[in-house]
Amino acid sequence: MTNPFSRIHNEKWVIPVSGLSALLGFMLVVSWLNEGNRLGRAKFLTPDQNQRGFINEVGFASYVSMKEEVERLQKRATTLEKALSENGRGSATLNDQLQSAKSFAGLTELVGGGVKVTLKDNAGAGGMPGEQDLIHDIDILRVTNELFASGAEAISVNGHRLMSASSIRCAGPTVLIDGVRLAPPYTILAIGEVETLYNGFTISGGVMTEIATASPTMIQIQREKSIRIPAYLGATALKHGSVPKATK
Amino acid sequence: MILVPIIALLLGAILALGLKVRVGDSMAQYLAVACLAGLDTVLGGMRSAYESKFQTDVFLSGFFANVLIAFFIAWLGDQIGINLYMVVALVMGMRIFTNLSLLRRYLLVRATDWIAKRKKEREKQLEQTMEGVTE
Repeated sequence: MTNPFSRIHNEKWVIPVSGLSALLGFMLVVSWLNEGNRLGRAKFLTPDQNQRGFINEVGFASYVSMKEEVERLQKRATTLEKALSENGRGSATLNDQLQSAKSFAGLTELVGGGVKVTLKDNAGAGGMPGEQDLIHDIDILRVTNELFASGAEAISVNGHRLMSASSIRCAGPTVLIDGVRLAPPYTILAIGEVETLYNGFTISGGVMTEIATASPTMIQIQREKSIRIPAYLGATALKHGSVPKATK
Repeated sequence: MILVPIIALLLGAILALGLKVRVGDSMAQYLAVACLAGLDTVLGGMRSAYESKFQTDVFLSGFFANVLIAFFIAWLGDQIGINLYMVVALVMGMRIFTNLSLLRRYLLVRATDWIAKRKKEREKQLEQTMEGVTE
């Protein structure tokens, strides 16, 4: 029985070609983008390559976190039910719940690994400083937004903790955060997964590259092993809204 | 025979997956460009085999030279601030298409030849049996 390839009488090519094919397969796998190296290589990719790669990942990650949240809530419901039945442990459980709610709301100090972003006006510009040489409220807003998007759990600007109702706006030459007047340089601390924060922030086409186009000295980011973010110290009393009875 | 390099490619991939090899992020980026050169050379080797002018030394040196040159051009591009890896992608991409189309033609010719041969053989057999019957 003959086969279509029988005409190759001289088959000395098979071994070298196969050997190098194996090497090529090895190289392809090593340079393949995967969950492990995508963040590290994000800065080498074009913005649309990044987007294509990240779309599915984000969807999956949020699905996983939602699933975990549901599990956590179910567990908490169980402990609450148990505590109710045992009565004596009720106050301890309530306290635990209160503490986690407070830390989520930004009413407690938080320590952990994270990044430190420094924003300052471009002092090196010769002559009159232009609009692009100054740090504006919108820059701080976008930086903190980007950090939250990269998974920051707590953020402070010049020692002022941001919480769910924080506002950032400008007032003349200074920036007001929750009505507190801050002046440059602005040091923004964020607690979260260090590499994710760092790589998410330095991604090409992000806020960092945009601000750095005026001058790279205006924005700097560094990884921090351990940072301490203070609690929110402003007023927390609600004047106009009240929690409906059904959810109390 | 053409299946042997494909199986080898998969074996190499499995080996890399099994060993969990990690290289630096920028290194991986250049390696990705070098992969294109490697793919082109392997296809070129197969093509020359079908043209029966395959030479082991030319093939081996070609593979490593092309991979290194692709790697170097991509690296140089980053050093001087021009996306030179695009040059590698363009040239190697074009060559991969050329090699693949030629390879496809050779295989097609071979396959049609084989089918024609089988047909002829069967007709011959049929003729012989017919002769046997009539005699």
